[in-house]
Amino acid sequence: MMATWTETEQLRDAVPRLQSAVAEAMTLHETSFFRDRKAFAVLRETILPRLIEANSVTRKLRIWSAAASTGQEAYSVAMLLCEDFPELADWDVRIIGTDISREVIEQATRGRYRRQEVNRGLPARTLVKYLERDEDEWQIAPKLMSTCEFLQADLTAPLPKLPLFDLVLLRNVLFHIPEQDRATVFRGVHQHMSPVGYLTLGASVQAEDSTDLFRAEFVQGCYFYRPARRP
Amino acid sequence: VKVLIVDDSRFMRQHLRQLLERIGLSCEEAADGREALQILRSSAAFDFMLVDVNMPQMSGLECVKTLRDAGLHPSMKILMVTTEADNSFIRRALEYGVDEFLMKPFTTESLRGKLAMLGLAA
Repeated sequence: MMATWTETEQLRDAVPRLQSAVAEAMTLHETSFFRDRKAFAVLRETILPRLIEANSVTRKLRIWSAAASTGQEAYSVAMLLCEDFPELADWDVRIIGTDISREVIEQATRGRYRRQEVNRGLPARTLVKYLERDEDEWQIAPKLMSTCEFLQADLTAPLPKLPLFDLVLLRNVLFHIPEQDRATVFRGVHQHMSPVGYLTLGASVQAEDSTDLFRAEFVQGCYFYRPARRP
Repeated sequence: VKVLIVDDSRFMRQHLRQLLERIGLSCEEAADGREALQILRSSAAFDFMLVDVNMPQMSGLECVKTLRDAGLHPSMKILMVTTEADNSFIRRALEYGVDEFLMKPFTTESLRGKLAMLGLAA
């Protein structure tokens, strides 16, 4: 017999391992390549040029796709960097994707996508440049695979060892995180952000009520958040 | 925005027409590349063409190449909608003047995404 929702929630509270599994089952894995084209345009036109200028001495760039799902966001950023910022070719660039679901992290690590997935969001010229067809699937090019790394991580729990990030993408997931856990999520993100870094929560999501660790900056019609003070 | 739908499948033409008319685009249909060229030679009013590949009389690829080589409707956007999906084929289609590519079967959302890339939908 299936448990009721209340029973499932009680179990979630009682059994730590089940807690992670329930959270995983409740999380939507909705994603696509270059999801929200406007957000990628702002990254290309304003945010990434600012970060490249700020990091021109260290020549390092760290980007965190914090709710990476099956990897399309991380690989889209990698494609954007290759396509529009050739000056980064000899920089130390790492894109790290994390997600609570082990299953989607395994898929992201494989970098293989089905027809319906490559049909969504990928311009044809980008598809043929950065993915190779292999029977019924498409494989991300080795050059991009080597820039991206994926780890399982629960944003509401202690995080694995991560670097300081210049750009954190936590887009369209805040609605799915229980209100009482959001402060923990923001604290974890803040602790892993460079002082010059930017956080984006998605076009329609604002953070003001959940945290005082960030200050909002309105860039080309999109909200970005920057660390207000060091932890 | 006026659209020419080119596909030898009547079902597919109807399906595409329904999707496009729902977002306010006005559609005409052609059953193969040759018929498409006839329509395009006699009218200057098309902004956008969706074209299949494998059709009798004249393929979509040949139709696009003929159209682009002749300089007809130079600003018309072309979306190729097909089951063909090898990278080498897609590259060739882009070289011939196709603007975007959508693989069959596709979802309404995928089609809308491609239209947005071509500046034809929000």
